[in-house]
Amino acid sequence: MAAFDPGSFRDPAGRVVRQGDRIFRVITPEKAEETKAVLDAPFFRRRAGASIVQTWVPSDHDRKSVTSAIPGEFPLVIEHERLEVISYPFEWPFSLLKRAAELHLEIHLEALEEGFDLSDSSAYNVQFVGTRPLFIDVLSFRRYKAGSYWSGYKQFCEEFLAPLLLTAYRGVPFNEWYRGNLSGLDLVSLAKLLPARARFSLQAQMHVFMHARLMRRIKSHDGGLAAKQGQLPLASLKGILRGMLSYVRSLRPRGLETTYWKDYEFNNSYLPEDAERKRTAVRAFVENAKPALLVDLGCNSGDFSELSIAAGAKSTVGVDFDQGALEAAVSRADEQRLPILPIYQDLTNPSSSQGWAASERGAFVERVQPDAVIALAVFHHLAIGKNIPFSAAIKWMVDLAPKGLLEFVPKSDPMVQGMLAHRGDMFLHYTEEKFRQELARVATITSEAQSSSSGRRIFTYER
Amino acid sequence: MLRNAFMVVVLSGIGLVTFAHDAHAYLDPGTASIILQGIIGGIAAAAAAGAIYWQRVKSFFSRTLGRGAQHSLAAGDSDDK
Repeated sequence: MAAFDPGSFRDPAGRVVRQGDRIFRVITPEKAEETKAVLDAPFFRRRAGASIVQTWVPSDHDRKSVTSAIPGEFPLVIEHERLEVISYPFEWPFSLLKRAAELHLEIHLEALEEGFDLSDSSAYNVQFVGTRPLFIDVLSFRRYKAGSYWSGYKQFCEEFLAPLLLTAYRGVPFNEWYRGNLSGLDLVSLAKLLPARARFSLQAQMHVFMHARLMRRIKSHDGGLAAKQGQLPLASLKGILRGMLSYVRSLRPRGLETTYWKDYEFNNSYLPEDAERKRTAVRAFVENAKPALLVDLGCNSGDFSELSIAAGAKSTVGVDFDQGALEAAVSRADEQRLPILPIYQDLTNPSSSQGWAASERGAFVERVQPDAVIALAVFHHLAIGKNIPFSAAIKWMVDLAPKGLLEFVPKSDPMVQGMLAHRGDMFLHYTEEKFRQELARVATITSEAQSSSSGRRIFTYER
Repeated sequence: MLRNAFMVVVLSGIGLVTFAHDAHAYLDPGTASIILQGIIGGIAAAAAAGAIYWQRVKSFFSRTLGRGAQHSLAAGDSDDK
């Protein structure tokens, strides 16, 4: 059964169609010839499979099977490699958004050298395989017409540059703000938020302050002013892109040098033998489960994701809300070339289905469907830290994956004691026995082991 | 005064936005963003050209000074002998 992807409707030149596990892109008659030329372009061939999504023309039989199931005329159908996980810019840590921005500009500049241009500059054009960015929107390429300006300039500034600057200048994580409107941060607001020292940067002055000022003064649909597109010399277009690329490259996240969870791996309450118990339990679980995709909830700097990959997991998504921890996980994945994708999530408010018709951008649980989940010392943050009902917290984690490893941290543990210090013990039913009972209600407990001398306990389940 | 100066810059940007072909683009680039590109395009192109010349200047000096450094090192060597 083929169906249009609900997120690919803005560009009328084509649509993404999902058929089972396969991803196709159907292309209209007007765009077909140009797309074929793009697929043959040297820059595309050089990058396909490495930094542009692997793309090919499927068999005639496949083409008919796809087009017969959908309305419209599509003389060209192309197929893309299927990505394990779809993630969104508002879930990426700073360094991944920066990496995606750099790739976008590098590809744009390279395409221009060969007579091609990009029709947009959306951050959603990029996906990640581990921490490697991959440009996925093949339909964005078009032939360069002399005099064209950068169509996606405003979009680039809002979806890439503005969120990066918020973190680089102010140390404010962009993720929740970005998720709020899906298309980045608007420049008029950003101009009000950036500190005075940002005004000394020529690039910030041009792309943010002047841009915002013009936006305030000129209505976007003020037909008389510049209703027709103008001629921008190619040297100027390349100059703007190059200037932007070097500016983006220079940006560093501010205020992430010391975050609590980043260093938790080295600065925690457990004894060395406790750490080894955890590692043994995780290793045994992963060796047995052999997951193609594992989700590591509360991944910190990714040490258990790394262990999971060593034990046979093909890839992992590390989820955390701490920006410093996520950056440390990105560095770990880069340095050791591990297929770990660290993404930002608040587990009590995970990415939901949103955008047009509340389906344009899928929910975290729709896009990330792992074969196994590990959640070490996460449950008490939900059940005690956020008052999530005991059974609901267990069920949510079990629903994520058919197999899992969950750690229960008892009230006597110093971490839980710390959480209860200012609020008194209102969690009368927070016990190991209750955890066991509730887990057994929604899944089969396959093993149990003590994971610390303070009484932490690791359960594995199958459902 | 500042406001007037700003408008002069804006108008010069619009001056660069000459009337030309319609590109059938699905994305609205925004009038303000087009005008801004007209303004900064010149700066960017000049900066890119400047960068090339700067590279040449740097490489000229590094070649000249590099040779000079080698020369003085060689002279130092001979002093030791």
